[in-house]
Amino acid sequence: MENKTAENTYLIDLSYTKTPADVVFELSSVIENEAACNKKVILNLGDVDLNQSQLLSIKSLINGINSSLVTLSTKSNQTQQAAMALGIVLDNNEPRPEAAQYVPMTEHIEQTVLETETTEDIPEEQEEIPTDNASLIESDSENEEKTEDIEEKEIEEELNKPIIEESKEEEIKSGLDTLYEGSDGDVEPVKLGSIFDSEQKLEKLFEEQESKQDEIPPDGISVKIEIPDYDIPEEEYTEEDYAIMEMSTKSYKQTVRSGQVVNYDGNVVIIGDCHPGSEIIASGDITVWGVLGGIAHAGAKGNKKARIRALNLNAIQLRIAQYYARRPDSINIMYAEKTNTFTPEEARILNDNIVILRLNDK
Amino acid sequence: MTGRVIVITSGKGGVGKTTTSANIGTALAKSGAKVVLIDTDIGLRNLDLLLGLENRIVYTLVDVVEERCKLKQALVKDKKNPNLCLLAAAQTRDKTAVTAEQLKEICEELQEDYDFILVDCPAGIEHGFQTAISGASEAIVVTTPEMSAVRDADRIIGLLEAKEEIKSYKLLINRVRPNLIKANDMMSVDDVVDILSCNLIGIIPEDTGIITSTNRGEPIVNDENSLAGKAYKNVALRIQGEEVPFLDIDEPHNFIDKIKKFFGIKAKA
Repeated sequence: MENKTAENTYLIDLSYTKTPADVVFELSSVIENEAACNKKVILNLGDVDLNQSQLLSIKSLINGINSSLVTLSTKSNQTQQAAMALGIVLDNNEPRPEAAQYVPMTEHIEQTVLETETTEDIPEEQEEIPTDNASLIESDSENEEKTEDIEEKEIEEELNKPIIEESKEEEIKSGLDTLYEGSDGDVEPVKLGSIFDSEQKLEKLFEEQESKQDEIPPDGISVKIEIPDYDIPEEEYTEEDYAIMEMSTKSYKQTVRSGQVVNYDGNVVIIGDCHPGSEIIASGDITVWGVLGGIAHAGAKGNKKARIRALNLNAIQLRIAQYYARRPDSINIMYAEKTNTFTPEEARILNDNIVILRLNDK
Repeated sequence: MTGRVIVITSGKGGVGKTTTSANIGTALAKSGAKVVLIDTDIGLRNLDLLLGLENRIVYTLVDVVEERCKLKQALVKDKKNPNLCLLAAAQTRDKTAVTAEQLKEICEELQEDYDFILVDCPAGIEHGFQTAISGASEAIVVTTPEMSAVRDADRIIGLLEAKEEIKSYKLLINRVRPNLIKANDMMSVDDVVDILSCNLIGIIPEDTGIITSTNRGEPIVNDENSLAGKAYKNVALRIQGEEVPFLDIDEPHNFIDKIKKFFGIKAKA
C-alpha cells in the first residue's frame, strides 16, 4: 500500500485490490491513520468494479475524516460510470504526486484566510454551514478578496501561472496571424479534438444510462398501486385547496428517527429523511425533502385535498384524511435505499383511493 | 373458554425473546389454536417486523389503553394464518404508557376468545417487565448458553417465583451450538439446567436462517427444512401438553459422520 503525501493531498493507492470488500477493508485501515485527515484524497482503485452506491459509501467514508475525495483513477468501466454519475473527477493517468503539489499551496491560502476570519469575527455563520464543501466555496470566494494579505512569494507563484497562459495565448494568436501552419497551430486542433472526444463519450454514456433507466422502472421502491386509467383532473383549486394553502407551514431541518413524532396543525416540510417508525401528522400537506420511510398522515383533520410528497416515497403507511394505504407485502425493503436518483412522488386522493403520482409525469 | 396467558421473558436483551414469541405463536396458530401475540416493548417494538405486519398497524396497545379504539380493532390479523393476531406496541411512546393493571385487564378480555395469549416482554426488570408479567399465569424464560444470559435468567426466575400469579415457568435455551459445546467452548444444555434448576421446555439450535427469516418478516417455523423451526414447533407441542423428545440438534455435518450415524457408530468427539 502506497500512501504518498504531498502536504495537503493524500494519495491512496489501492490498485492491487481485487474486490470491493478489499477496497473498503484497506481504506478503513488507511483512514485510521491521522495523516489522512483533513486532506484532499486521490484514490487509485485499479480495476475493481464498484457501483454507484459503493462508491458513494467510500466517498462518505473519506468525508468522515474531514477529507474530500478529489480525484479517482480506475481502469474499470463500471467504476468510471459510477464516478461520473457522482461527479467525482476522473484521472486515468498514473497518479502524479508532484503534479498535485500546486494544490497544497491554495489549500494553504485557504487555511490562512480561515485563520484571519476567525480572528476577525463571524463564528456564527460558520456554524450554520453544515457541509465542508459550502465552507470551502465560501473561503474560495473570500480568497480572491484577500489575496493581498498573503505573503509575497505565494502571490508571485500564483501570478506566474496566469501570465504564462496569457503569453501562450498571445503566441498562438500571433502564430495564427502570421503563419497558416506552425507548431502552435498544431497544438490547438489536438486540444479541441480531445475535448470533443470526451464530450462524445459522455454523451454516449448518458444515452446508455437513459436507456437502462427505461428498462428498469425507477420507481420500484415505494408503494406501487397500478394506476388504472384515471382521468387526472386539471388543477382546479377548490376551497379546501385554498384552505391548505393558507395554513401556516412549519419546517424541520433534521432526520426524523424511529419513535419520533412530528405533529403540527398546518403544513409540514421536512428537510431530511423520515425513518421507518417515525410519524408525521399534519392537518395540511406533508412535504419531505428526502426519503419518507415512516407513517405520514396528511389532512389529519379531515381535509381530503391534502397531499403527501417526498423525493422518495417509501412509506409504510400513507394516511390522508380518513383514508389509509399500506405498503404492499411484496415490496419488502427493511431499510431505505440510499441513492442519488430520486423520483419525486406525490400521494393524494383520487376517486376515493390514495394514489401515488410521479411528479415529473405531469 | 379461558385462554392461557404466557409471558416470554429473559432479563438480558438480544437472547431471542421476540423471535421465540413470533415462532411459538405461529406454530401454535398453525396447529389450530387461536393465538394473540402482545408486544409490550413499547417504544422499541420489533414483533411486527418479525411477522411482517409492520405496514398493517393502525392502532396499538397504547391506543387501546387510552380508549382511542376498541380492543378488536387493534388486533392485526396475520397474513397467512387467520388464527394468529398481533397486538402491537406503540413506537412513539415509552413503557410508562401502559400500567400493569391495564395490561391485566386486556389479557383477561382476550382470554375469553383466544386459547393462547403470548406476551413478549421487554428486556430489563423495570416497569416494562413488571407490566408484561402482570397478566400472565405462565412464563417461558429464554436464555442462551452464556454466563451473562444465564445470570440474568436466574434473576428473572427469582422475580417470577416471588410473583404468586405465575403458576409455572419453563426454560428455553436458545442459540445452542453443538460444535462449541463439543469443544468445551460453550456451556452445555445440562450445565445451564443445573445452574438454574428449572424445567426445560425447548432447546433451539443456532440457525443462520433466523437472520434471513427476520429480515423477510416470516417466522422460521414456516420453513419446513429448518432445524430451529422444528425445535420451535416442538416447543409449541410441549406447551399444548404433548410429550415430545428433545430434538437431536447434534446433527452430523459431514458425509462420513452421516454414514457413521447411519451405521450406529457414534461420531468422534
